[in-house]
Amino acid sequence: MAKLLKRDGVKRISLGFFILSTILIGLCSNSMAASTTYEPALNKGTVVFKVDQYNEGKWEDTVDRELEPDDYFDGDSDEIGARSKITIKNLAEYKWDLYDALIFFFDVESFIDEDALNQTELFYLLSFLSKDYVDALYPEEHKVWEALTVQWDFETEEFDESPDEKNYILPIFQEPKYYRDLLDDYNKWALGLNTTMLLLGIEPFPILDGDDFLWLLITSGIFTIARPFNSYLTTLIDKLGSDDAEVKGNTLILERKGEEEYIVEVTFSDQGMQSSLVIKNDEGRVIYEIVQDNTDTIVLIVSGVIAASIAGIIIVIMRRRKKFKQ
Amino acid sequence: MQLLEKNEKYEQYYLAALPVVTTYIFELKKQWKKFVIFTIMAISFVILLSHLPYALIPDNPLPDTQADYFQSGLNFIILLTIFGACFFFSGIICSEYSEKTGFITFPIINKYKLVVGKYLGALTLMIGVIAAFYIALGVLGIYWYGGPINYRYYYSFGIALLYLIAVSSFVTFFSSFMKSVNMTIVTTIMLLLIANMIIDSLVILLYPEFEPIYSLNHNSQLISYILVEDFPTKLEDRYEDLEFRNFHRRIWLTPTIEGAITIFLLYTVICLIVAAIIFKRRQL
Repeated sequence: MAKLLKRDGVKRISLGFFILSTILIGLCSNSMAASTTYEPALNKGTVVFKVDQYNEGKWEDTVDRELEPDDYFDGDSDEIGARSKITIKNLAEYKWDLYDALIFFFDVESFIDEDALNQTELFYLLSFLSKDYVDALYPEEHKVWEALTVQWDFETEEFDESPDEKNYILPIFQEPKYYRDLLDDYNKWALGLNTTMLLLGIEPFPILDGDDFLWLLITSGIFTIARPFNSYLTTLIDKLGSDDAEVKGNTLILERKGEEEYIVEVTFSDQGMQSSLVIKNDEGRVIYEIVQDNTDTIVLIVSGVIAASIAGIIIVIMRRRKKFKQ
Repeated sequence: MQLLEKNEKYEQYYLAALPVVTTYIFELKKQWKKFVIFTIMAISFVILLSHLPYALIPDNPLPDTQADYFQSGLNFIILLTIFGACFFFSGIICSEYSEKTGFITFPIINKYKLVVGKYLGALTLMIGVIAAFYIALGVLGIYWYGGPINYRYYYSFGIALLYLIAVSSFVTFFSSFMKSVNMTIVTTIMLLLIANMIIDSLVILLYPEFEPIYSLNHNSQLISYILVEDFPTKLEDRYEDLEFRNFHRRIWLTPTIEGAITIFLLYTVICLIVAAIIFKRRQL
């Protein structure tokens, strides 16, 4: 009898242990899943950027002798004080396939020199770029939060009333690994097409590694990340296999080689957008810097504080008068 | 001697203006609660219609530019002006008759000075309400799009004030012959909101080529349309033709700037002159 009771006790303990471990594993797996769940931090509104520093001589010696900042960042981005503006209109969930990436990230259309080809060659080449062709070969879709924006290029004067680009899209991939998938698909697609390009006598599409892709993302101006930022960036460089990149907090540091070696530091704002971009030489001297310009926000806050103070003073005076009259 | 004459002149002016100023201040004190209610309403509507839909619904896209945002936000200003003018100005003349207060005031104060003081007081408060609406929308414009505020927003404010003066004169005209304040409010709201729209629609249907330049409703469209970057200068750019199963309809987008300002001023002058004539002949 005692043995039976003992057995029962052992069974109960084993059962309890099993249930507890099942719950704990479940909780653990949940918390593990939760830690890799990303969410967008981007809000509607306007962000202004400003070219804060630019050392032309150092740029030519270190980064690129032929290309200037405006070749990477458009507009008057080679002038100190030039400002650009982006207004985020909304945020919605979509799915991106390779075709979307070819157009928005890799900008493959700009690679094709239409003047160097005749009508038939151009038609033939463009058939490889058609949505139907790309979707048939690379049908995989990736979940993305897409922000619809309007954008003003860098300008030294006041912004024009109409934006330079309407319906400018900022994608935030729901998983950083999707960047890797797209990069792999792009490289496969480019390899398949480059033979034709060489036969036609035009420059082939570049084959990119993780570091090149990161640089492409940074200079595209549409590189936006999801929360938690540090985890997102760490996973991203891990998946891309970027040897020359590291993450410190919300900052992505990338080592590049131009004329000489230089360092690119990209800091992300609390919305997941690139809030500052600093290019330094290996001695740590700043060659080029773009920062977020918060003057308007400061003016708005100061105006709000002044208005609130005036309203407060008026209320206090009115109350005192009332008391005095009583 | 000359100094004495000058002082006497100033004293005369002061004495002449004193009843107007006193009535003006009295009107401000009398209507301040209405002012607070309308101001709260104006700011609430700005927040409800121009902020919350964008802040709470992620899919709902912001307009492209600050000017577009202001244009969409200014739709409510017409209603606010009409309701405000009807509530603030309806009692300017007729209340002296319906409440028999004229028996006390008219023998002491010149009745025109009394009405001018009351009109200016109500107008000041309504300008305050409209300004509160514009300030609230302007602050939200900076919040979403950054500064500075588009300069055409100030033009829009100026045209809104002209529209307010025209509508208030229209209401004052009705107040000069109507018997009670409530009747004046109901009649003017009906006329400005419903009758005006019906007449405009009929005219457009019967004579599609004819621009309803007489209409306050049509001219009020300039308040928001002045924010358009390329304001239409040609006649054919100021309307859109719609055709549906052989049914032809013309939609007038905006009047010309000069035309609208002239019509607002005409309404103001004619309504105030007629109101003054009726008021002069009206017996207690």
